[in-house]
Amino acid sequence: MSTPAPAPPMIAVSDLVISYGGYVAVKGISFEVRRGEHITLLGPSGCGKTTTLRSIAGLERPTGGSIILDGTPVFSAEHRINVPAERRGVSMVFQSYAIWPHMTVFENVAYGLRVRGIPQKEIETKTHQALQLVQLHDAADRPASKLSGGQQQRVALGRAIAFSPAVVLFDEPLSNLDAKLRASMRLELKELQQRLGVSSVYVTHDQEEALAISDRVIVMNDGRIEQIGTPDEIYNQPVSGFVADFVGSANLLSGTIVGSGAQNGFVMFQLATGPRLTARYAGAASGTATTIAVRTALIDIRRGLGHRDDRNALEGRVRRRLFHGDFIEYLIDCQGNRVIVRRPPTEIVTEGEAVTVLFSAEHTILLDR
Amino acid sequence: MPLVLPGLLGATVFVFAEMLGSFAAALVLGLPGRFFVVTTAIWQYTLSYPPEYGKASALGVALFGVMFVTLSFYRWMVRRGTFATISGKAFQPRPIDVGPARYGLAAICWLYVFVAVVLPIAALLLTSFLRFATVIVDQMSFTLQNYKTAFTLDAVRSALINSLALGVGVATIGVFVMAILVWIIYRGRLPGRAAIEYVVMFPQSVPRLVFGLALLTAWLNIPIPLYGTLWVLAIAYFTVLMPLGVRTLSGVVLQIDKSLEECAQVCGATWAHRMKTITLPLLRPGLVAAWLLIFIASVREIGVSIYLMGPNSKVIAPAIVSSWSSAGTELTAAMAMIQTAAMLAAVVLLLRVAGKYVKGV
Repeated sequence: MSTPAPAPPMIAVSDLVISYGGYVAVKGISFEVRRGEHITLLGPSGCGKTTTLRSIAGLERPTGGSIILDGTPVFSAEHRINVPAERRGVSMVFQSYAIWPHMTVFENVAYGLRVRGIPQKEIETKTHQALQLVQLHDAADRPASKLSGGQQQRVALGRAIAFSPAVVLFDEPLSNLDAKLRASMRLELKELQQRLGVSSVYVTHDQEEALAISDRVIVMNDGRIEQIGTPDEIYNQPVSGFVADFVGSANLLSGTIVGSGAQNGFVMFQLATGPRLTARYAGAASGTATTIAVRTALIDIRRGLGHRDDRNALEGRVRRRLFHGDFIEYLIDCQGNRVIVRRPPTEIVTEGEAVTVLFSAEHTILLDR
Repeated sequence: MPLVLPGLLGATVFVFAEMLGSFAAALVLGLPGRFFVVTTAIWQYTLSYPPEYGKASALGVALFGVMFVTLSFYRWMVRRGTFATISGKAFQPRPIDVGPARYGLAAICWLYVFVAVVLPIAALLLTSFLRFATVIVDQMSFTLQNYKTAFTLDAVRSALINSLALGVGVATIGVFVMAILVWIIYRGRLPGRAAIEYVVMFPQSVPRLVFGLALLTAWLNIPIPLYGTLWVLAIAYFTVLMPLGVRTLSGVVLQIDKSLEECAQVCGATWAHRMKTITLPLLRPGLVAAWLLIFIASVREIGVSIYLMGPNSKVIAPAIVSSWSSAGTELTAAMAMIQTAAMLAAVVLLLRVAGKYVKGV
């Protein structure tokens, strides 16, 4: 018995290049989105993530590479294919919501169904279903321009899912909401994604959002992909200083590998300022790797000097303490290195105090680049 | 302040350029006192016998040069920066609380309105009913004779009808053509749109009077017998009002966030369907406004009309000006009131008709 051929990925992007005049926004990226998978493009503004998303939707014309949706090429520079956005059958939630102010909530949500020439009865059922899903069934007949930001967000979402698309693209949909609403919408979005079984590509510059709602995260920087991985991999095994720093906050310390190289996945690493540490060897690290990353939240502080256990230890003095509410951030001068540490507000060390910082080798990541 | 500065500065430069090219007010208010500005000087040169077209043209080109430079500066200032306020997000202007100062500020606004608008119109209205224009109340004697004369004068009647017809025609065709142009300039992907925009906005930097003089010279030499007909006026109005219409419409187009159309496209709507369901409904109030503006501007037009109207194609605004210099003040006032009333009636009528479409947008 032969195993059935695996279903093609829902979206396959290969060697995508997008340039405007002389400016290259996307410099040849490739990735796949599997069926039912939720992928997030994460990166700072100007990294090319939104441009990539828009070219999947068909709103931007790439200059090179190809995009295949569910086995059908919708863009190919080589074969001169560029299917217009209205025939790609994907759906999109815009950053600005793009609510049509001259229509009611119902008409906004029903638009995609009406365009498809679906019988009136079915339009009504499906629109009401979508309105139920985004909890707007009470507001169906209200003019869409008279809604709050959160409600407009829901209309945009309802409109995007009403015509049962296989792919939904999200362009920073939560960035205009306040922090509290954003957190609750994030949760709702995740539940909605799972209920609908759609595939989605989500663009954001908010790393928390990316880690919380995605199956896999693609970290982009300057038109290129830095790393693709599960939220866990991205957070715990960053491959580059950029990823370590952008996703969560990390201390980046420079130095060189010493000794005979990797043993059981760990190496000895000597900081440029002297102290030796044990660091995790992520796999591809070469002998020339010069940076390690330590997450600010994974470092312990002990009052006084000379504390030792099986972890890496550095000694220093607290230079600054910043109260953030959920955590306290300490800036510690450690033997010529500046180390940032985040601790719960229950442990309090005063400024100027001598301390030992301890962090396990497991959390000391040798970066590829 | 830094935010609104480009806008303020832009408006200042724009008004400065407009003032340089203004003609009608300077003609009526300045000439009796032999107080010339550039435009009225040009007018005088062409009226003298024999007409000194050479001098007039030279002056015109010089004026055009100055306006061109200032308006280029204005354009350069306005270009930097993009504007989009209807973005699909809730948008509301926010009133500023100025405390007790609001009564003072309101008073200043109303005073301005009173001095600039109410007072002149009231004076005009009063004069139009007087047998002789006078400010001595005892000697005022009221009459309807001026209106009777104005209406029975064939010239006045036909000028009024010509003006209204031209206004409706130019506004209707103008809005249609200009809307397409605006779409090409601001939303299209056509190469050379910047050049189109430039050509379209060009008449802005040509003073009306100079433009009229130029068209006069041109059509006198072109062997198509358009001179002296309403057609040449229609062409002239269309050209000089193009910047006004395009500016109004582009304001509306730029206010509509691109994502509103893009979203419809992603939802599966074809270009034609998007136009019908999204773009045109959102544009409608702007189209009506542009129509009204062009209509009003063409009925009021004087700078180009004064050179281009012929004996069989009189229009109302220049007719009023020439009656000012030939007939009495009272008759002129009556004609001006008739023009104002006719325009007002047309505007109200249009708003009535358009009202039911505009509502709910």
